[in-house]
Amino acid sequence: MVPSGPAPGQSPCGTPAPILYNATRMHTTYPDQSAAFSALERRLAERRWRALDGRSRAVFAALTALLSGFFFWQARVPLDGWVRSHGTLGGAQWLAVAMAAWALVAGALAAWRQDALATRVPGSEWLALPVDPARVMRHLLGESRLPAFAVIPPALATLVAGAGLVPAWWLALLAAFFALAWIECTRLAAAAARAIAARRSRHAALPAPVRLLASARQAATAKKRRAPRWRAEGGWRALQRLDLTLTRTPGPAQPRMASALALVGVSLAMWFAAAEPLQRRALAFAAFLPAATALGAWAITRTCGDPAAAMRPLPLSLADTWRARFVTLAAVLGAALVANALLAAGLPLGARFGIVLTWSACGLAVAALGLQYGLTLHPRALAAENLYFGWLGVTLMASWMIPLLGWIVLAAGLVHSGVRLRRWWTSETA
Amino acid sequence: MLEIAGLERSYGPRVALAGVSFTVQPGEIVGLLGANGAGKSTLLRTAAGLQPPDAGRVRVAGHDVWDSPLEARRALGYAAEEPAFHEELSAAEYLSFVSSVRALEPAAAEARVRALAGALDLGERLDDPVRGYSHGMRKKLSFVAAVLHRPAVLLCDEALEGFDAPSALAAKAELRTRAREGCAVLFSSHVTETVERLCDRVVMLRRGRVARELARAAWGAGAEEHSPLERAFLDMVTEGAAE
Repeated sequence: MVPSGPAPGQSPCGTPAPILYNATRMHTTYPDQSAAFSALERRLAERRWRALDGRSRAVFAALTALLSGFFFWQARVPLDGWVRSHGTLGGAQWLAVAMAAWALVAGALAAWRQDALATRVPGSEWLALPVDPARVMRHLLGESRLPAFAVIPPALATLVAGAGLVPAWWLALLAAFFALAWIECTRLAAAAARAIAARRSRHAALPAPVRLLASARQAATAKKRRAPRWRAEGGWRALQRLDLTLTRTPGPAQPRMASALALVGVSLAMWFAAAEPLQRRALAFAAFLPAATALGAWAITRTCGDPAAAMRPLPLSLADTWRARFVTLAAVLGAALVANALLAAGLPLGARFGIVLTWSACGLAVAALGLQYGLTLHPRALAAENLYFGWLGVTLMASWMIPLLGWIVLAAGLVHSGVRLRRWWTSETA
Repeated sequence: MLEIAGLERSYGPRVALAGVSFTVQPGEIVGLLGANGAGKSTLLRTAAGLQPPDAGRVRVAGHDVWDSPLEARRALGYAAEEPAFHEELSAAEYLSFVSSVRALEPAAAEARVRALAGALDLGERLDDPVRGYSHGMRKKLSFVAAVLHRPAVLLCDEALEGFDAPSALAAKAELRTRAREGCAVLFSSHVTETVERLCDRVVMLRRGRVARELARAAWGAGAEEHSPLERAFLDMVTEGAAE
């Protein structure tokens, strides 16, 4: 008997047809895995909580309290004026806009995290499991929401600022509105980031979640690099050269240095603004400080980015690793300061020297803070950045609250990170 | 010489090393055998200065790894079980950095890298970014970095795992050369056949303790450096090269 058609899995000419992905069959065979994912997410949360020691929890709690207090007062004063001029309803509208803004910030954070997850997710490991890729995507959505939780304390502080100015039932309504907006903004932003990441994938025939997992962590096409020049130079110089090579190459260090240099450019451009010389100096300084901050972030990326297995067995001391980075920071900041002083044509000579002296102390302190937290928290770049930006945030708030208090906070940060430096020798890297 | 004395290390309640002591003499290749979780990698990572011990000492060429880290690291080579590199760099860029940090003469270091990479079939990929390397290639790169400066003490953590057969033969030849030149080699492996042929002595770990030490004569290995299969393979490779 002659079969009337090709056998399953065969093309009409008899050869096996390539099966890339049978979406229908795969989707119908998945059992309910909610319990397994819930258990996984619960264990992840527990592990993250345990990873923070008591002191870190206290520091984060203090930072959260300070930030919340800051945003409370930043909202309370203008809201009071707004309610006086526009009435209670106007105040409620003001708070609604503020809550919407916080939800948007949460969405941006979730999108940023989702984009990072899309490239770092263990795609092949997930695909090897009999798990619906769409369920994995839901899990990744939860993971991408993690940084967005940081928005909740300041948002609630903003809302509480309305107490006594706006009726309590309005505040309750606005809290519900914020919760809903937070959920939807983070969901939509993560979905948008995921769609953009999936579009970068080459496997256009596959469903989007599979495409994303299949292309995650794939090695980019290896393009040959120029042969290096073999040199005889000391430890810190070799490390400094390595930093420069890594900064010139696309990777995590490059955008941080690029943003620092762009901010230095903005700082220099301020001297051409149509303003009084003293105003121009203030504007240039306002751009110079973020440049120093970005340099500190670059130092964190470089110090925490050194793989322990490759670097720790080498005869490099703490002094070598500190000096290699500090010399680079000082060189970039020094060049920026000299250029600023040269462009400050409207200021007397003494004031120009003042720029070099006072700005260099401030810029070096900010950048060195990042360097030292990077060294002491190696290889945990995220923890080092959180501590660095958190400390600078507190410094900034202290400056706004009481003149010169910010300097004391910054100096305390330098002392704190300096005391921690000896941890570099016994860094737990395994 | 490598001296390990009373080394202890725990991960929370789990004891990884419970008072391990032994020495590796110059010119000796000592195999480190043990089941998964016996403490081999913890021992090697601690000896290499990657993690501090809870108690005990490690001396590399007379220098304590934790009291005189720089002197110890100058004399030390370490091939990691899970090597990690700067992914953006090429192998040549990384090795030129290692050569600089170790203050090697540039031309001699470059020539040695070319020779080692050629022997390990890595020569044509030296200028490729490490990000595109397979696991075996990463292990080879870690091995080259570890032996580049002809260290006085060499720690190999599953160093030949992932090597193809010709590269494994070349790496074993390099290890024997290092030992002949006076290097103390501590070689951890799961593959007893490799340890049997390569090592002069074996230290066996069980639950973080030295369970047994055996000299080469004790396990009855002959003077042959290669197993019969290795010999046949080597002959085939040599014939192929001649043709």
